[in-house]
Amino acid sequence: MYLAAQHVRSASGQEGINAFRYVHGGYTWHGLPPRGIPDQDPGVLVQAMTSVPPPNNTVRSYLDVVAPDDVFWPELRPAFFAFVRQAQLSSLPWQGVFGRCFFRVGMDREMAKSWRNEIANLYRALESVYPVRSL
Amino acid sequence: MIGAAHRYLELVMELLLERALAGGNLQEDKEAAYVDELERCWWAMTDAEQDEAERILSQSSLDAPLELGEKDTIVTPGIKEPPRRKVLEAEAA
Repeated sequence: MYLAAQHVRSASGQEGINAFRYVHGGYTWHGLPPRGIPDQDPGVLVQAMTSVPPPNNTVRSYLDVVAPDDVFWPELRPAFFAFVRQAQLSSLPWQGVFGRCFFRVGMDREMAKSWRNEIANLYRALESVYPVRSL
Repeated sequence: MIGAAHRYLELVMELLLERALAGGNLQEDKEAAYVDELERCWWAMTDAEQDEAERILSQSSLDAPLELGEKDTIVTPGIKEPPRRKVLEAEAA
């Protein structure tokens, strides 16, 4: 599974967060995702929430989560907090593996001025494409 | 920093993130649990550790690149394309 939330800005200046959920069809792993996932092999897109229509919008921030398809929020959330706790004193972009979850966070300098709120907004966008009710 | 000082910083960051995720305010009991633990850690810290923690927490902004250099891509259900690419890759596609 690959969950991606990204804050984008269109050429006309419209801004918003788009989020996507890809699945890997039961293909599972532990720790780091297999080579190529998610950049060359994101999986199959099954859900999208777009507030600014792609393509060619500038990406200003992103939050990526890569994990086996059977990872749900009760496992994902504490792993995410552990990731942020460890990463937050270092420069962006961040990436790290906690449990079965791989995380990446990036943002431009302007976004980084309010990075906690931005991460929260991105995280909530992920919840919109991977609802908590899917437990 | 080790021990109480390290835990104090972890807790403050976690509390701020929890508040942001909750849209500003946490439930009273959840907030109170953080405050109790933060106080315990604070009084276990030396003066120097307290000063250092305050210095770190006053730096609200993080170093980051001026721009990410990435553009989003067209994605529709069923396809296997990532949602964004580096600008050079996007132009070549």
